Amino acid sequence: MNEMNFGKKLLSKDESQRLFEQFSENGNNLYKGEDPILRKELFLPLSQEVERSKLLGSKKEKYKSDIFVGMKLYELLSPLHLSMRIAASDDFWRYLSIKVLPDLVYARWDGLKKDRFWEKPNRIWLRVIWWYVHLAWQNDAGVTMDCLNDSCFSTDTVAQLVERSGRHGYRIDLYRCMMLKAKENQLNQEEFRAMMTLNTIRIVNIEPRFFNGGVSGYVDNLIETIKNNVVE
Amino acid sequence: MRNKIPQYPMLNQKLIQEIGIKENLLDITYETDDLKQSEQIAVSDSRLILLGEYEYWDPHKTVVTIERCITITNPQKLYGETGIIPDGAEVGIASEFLSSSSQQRYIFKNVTFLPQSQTGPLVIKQRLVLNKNTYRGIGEIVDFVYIARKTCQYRGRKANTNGAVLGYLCNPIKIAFDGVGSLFPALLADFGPNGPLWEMRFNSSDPSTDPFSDDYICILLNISHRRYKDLKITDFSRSNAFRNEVFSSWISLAYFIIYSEYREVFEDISTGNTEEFGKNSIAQWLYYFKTTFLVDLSKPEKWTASINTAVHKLLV
Repeated sequence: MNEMNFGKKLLSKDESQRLFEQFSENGNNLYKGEDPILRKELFLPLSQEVERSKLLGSKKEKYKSDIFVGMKLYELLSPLHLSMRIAASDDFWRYLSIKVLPDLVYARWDGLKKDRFWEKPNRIWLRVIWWYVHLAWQNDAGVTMDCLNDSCFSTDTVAQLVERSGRHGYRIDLYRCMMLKAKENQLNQEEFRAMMTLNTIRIVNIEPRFFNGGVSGYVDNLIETIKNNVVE
Repeated sequence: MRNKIPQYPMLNQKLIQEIGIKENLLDITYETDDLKQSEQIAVSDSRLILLGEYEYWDPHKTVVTIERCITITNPQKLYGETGIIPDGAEVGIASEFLSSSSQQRYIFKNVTFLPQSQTGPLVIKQRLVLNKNTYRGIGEIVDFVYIARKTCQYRGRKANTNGAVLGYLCNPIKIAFDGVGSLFPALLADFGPNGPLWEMRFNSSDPSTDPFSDDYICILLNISHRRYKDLKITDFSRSNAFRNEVFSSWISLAYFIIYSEYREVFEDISTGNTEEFGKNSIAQWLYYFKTTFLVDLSKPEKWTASINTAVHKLLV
């Protein structure tokens, strides 16, 4: 991806709503020709995967498709090019969803779902899949993909992780560690959900970075508790 | 701050007074490719740093370094019978930067000590570097006390788990990255249950240059009033007609004060003659609000309706 000034590629909530209401229900002509350079960079590589996902039925298959699109999007808009200031801007993701790739969002969600385009930041699809990959990132695309492909993760995990930003932002190091150790310890989906819930309770009183063994020791302890079904 | 049901003794106001906390002035350095500028500021009651007040601040270009010094006069009082740390355990004081709008949080300073090793005051020197193009919205600096290393012998009711958080030393320092326009100058006050729900504070002698901040203009919200709960300023996510009415009345009053006491400034706001307005000044904010939300200033009686519509749009 060439260097681009993403700082100006923003769309407010009001403006997003206005443009969204002009979209036709049948999904025809959603893309109005704006920002062709960015569109060119993103559309083709992402649309192939989204087109494939339209043929898929189960939630598991949809999840697999989402992580492929998420990884591709993260590769194209990597933190090397997309600053964290912009990545944290809901208005940037609205711009992408409404102005640059509306047909893609429409295709993935099989219709005009306003949550997935602009309304609720934690549900804007492109934002969610980018942040999901970011929160799982293991310093290498192959290792990250391998991790995300593990059977313990599902569309539910995406919601668990991205929608739990907390009042003070993501604990990125903790989330990355939880994802990796969930795979290493072969947790199932139910155990992963239990680990997230236990973490929500414990983190009120414990700072993971200062627990025995740091963040890694903290996550080991969560998993041990879940596996032994022991709550201290 | 975290909401929690304490499972063990935590820092409270009495203990904070006993250990004694002093904060020095903050040193803020702004650095771009071309210039380096330092300021020394005192943290006001609102404990808010408005980076947008400085003309050399540009979130895309400027690296900001904040240096701060906290002195804890009697850190030993964290131990002992009335303290919160078991004797023999190591205590830690960590400083964390938090920003939900930037989706980032990290600890940038951490000191630990044992009671026997800390006989005098504890001086914590912090240095927080905020890189360019990284943050947005609001950030906070918080300082919390935790158990750094538990003691083996202890069996009492004090916390004795590594990493257990025992409370915060002072109110957070907030940093606004995106200009003063993103913040509403609101302060909490206690006028008693029979006092007014809100009051206007206006201390400006020159609204065309004085900043739009709570030192010069703000709404004071009475926390003892029975309707205060309906104004909770942390809860802007939901529509609230009553709250919108209060805030639109306050903004209308701000325009009225300028209209009646600073007619020239008012004319400049109305006509868009903003050349003399200082950056982030009260007048500039009122002009910004007028143009962004199409406030009709042609007649005083038209203000309320158009401001009400604007506030509804702004706060929903």
